[in-house]
Amino acid sequence: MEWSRVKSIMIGIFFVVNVVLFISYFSNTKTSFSIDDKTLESTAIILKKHNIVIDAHIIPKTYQDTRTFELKKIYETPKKAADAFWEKAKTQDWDYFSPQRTRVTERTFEYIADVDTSKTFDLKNASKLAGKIVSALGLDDKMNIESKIEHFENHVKITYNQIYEGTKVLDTALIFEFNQHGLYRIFGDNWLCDYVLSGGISPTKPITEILVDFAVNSQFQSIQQVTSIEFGYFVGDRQNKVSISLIPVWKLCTQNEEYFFDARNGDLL
Amino acid sequence: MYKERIKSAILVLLVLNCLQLMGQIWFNNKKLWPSGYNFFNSIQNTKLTNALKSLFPLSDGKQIDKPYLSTVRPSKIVLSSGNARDVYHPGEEKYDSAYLQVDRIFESLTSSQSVRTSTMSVSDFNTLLQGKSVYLSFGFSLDPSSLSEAFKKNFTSVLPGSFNVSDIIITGDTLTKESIVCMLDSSANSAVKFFVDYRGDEIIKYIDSSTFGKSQDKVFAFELKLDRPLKDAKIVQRILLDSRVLLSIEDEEFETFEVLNPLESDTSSFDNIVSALGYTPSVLRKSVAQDGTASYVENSATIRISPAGVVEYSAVETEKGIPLQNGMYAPYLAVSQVTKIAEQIFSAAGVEHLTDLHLVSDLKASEDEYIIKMNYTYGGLPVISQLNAEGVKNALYAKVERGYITAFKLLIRTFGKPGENAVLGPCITGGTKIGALDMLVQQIGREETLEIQEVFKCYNSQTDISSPVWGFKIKGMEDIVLIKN
Repeated sequence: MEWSRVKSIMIGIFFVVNVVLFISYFSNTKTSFSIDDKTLESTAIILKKHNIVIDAHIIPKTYQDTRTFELKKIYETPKKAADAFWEKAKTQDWDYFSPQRTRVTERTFEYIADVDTSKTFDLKNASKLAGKIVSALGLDDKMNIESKIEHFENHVKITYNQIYEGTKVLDTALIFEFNQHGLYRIFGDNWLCDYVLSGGISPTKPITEILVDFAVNSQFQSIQQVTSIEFGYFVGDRQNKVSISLIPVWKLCTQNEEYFFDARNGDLL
Repeated sequence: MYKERIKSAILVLLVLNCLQLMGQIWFNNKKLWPSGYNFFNSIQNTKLTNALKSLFPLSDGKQIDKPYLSTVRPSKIVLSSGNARDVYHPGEEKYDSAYLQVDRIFESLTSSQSVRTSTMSVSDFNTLLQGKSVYLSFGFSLDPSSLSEAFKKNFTSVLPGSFNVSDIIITGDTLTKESIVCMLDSSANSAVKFFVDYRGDEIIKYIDSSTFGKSQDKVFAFELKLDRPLKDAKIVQRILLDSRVLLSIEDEEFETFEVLNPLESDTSSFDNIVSALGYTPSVLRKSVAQDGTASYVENSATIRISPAGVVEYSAVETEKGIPLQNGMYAPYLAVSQVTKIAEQIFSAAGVEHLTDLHLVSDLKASEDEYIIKMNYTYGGLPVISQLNAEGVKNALYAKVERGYITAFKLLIRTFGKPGENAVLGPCITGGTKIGALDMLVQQIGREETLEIQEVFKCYNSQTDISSPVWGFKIKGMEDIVLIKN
């Protein structure tokens, strides 16, 4: 009878201990945080005093710890990437990336097609054709990408971006442009196809803190209007580099400029 | 009965669940921490731990550790008896024995209530080297506080703060039975003599017994008058040596050894090295160049690690550098901390022990800036590490500004198995054989006089197997000139 009571008491004690441990565990593993409205408004006021105008509503309210990645480029330069794509295109009997119609810079490649204006192209098929080219030429080699279609008058633009764990890479892009005659331009910015190696989780700084530091350090003489703030990854210049870390950034756009801030330490890149 | 069994099962499950959650909190959820995060460090830095530390101080924060003491020992101890001479280097048994003798005299000097003292000229200081004496050559200058830390004696009570000791001679007076300690400040060209009431006859006996059976096969430059311009102006004088440069006139045999670069084949430790410098690798922008050199960048600092074994840190601004512990500015504390960082880097690179380092730059009190330079040593002899492609002049270089380390460069090298012995020819010869000094003049091929500040036996680490060479430090030349004789 006594032993039964002891067991009941111990069950009660261990139950309470387990509840405390559960709470402790989940609070320790919390990786997402939110900023209250008052802080956002105060940030906007401080920024205004330093000539930066921002609508408090465009400041992201949440931020989270983010995984960093290591990128190992497959192609050393845009020239080498374009040459490799051209070799594959030849096997398909396509003209894409033919040397005569492809221009490269240190960071970009651009193919301008010789469009046959006598033919017509259904812009509804643009996405399908772009996907086919990407797949056949290995433009998405080893990468995880997503596409965005923008429709204009007689013109469709399809932009591919690398995306890792739901977060977009903000400074690499592959763009296909179509008109009523067909594909007329393929443009790659910092698009060298990458192996992606996973790194550790890194804590990030709240955007409000980064904005205040930026405002205090920049000392703008004229009014700067912030138009958007976006969270994503940043690759940067990778000339003469075999691998580079993909870093989480806050991208801040004003009417004239784009700024990238390392989300881990607030460094202006 | 059935109810009791259910209770027991629930209790067991709760206990297991409790253990599992504890394990999860303590160990498993580290995957969610940033890489480089140390659970135990976070405990170490809690308010509670700090409060306990202040209640039970285990260290006063100024503790100087063993690596520092070994870096600032005299680079050589020369025993002269008047007609015989012997040289000891750190690591040798005889060096330790001589060091012990000196240490006792220093103890007596610094603990005496009143010490007789007088100034002396540099030439008088040099003259002592021709008699019975123990000569301590550091190869750099130390201010009184650094000297005090090096010997764990209070020299600040007997030396003025501005006196930077570069050389020490100890001798004894057999009549008064006093020991005589002479200290030289070579930069100020001044010397001071202390009469210590401590077994002067004993030190003379020690010198006689230690040099018994030895010959005078090493001479100081001033003894050959190579430290002064020639009187005959018609003859072009090719070299001018510092007075206390010790020249060897006989062949000597030295061990050769393998020089190893731990980073050559192991780039996986780069992140650990970044952590050893106090940075978290995952919060820096990392890139790897074609040659395998990794750069870790943030706006305030850059860390560069190359497969050639070079670890380089530089801070953009002084206040963004690595802070010295407790904000201490004293040069010996800076050397201590820099050595500690080097030790941590070695450990991060998977090397158990820090390769022996020896200071080669002055330790002088300054308010703003210290430059710290060190070379590796093997068997007490310096190992010269000059990699021009990497801008490496010394094994370790550090710049300390206003309590912050703002630049740091370390060439990681370890020394492997000893190889066959190699003979190092003499520095000067009287016969037909060409000495290292002649070879130096031929190699440099300059018409004007070479002012040689230091001549020393050393190892050249630029090859896989390091062999003994002569090292020449020449005025106006940054690199040490190495001559294999």
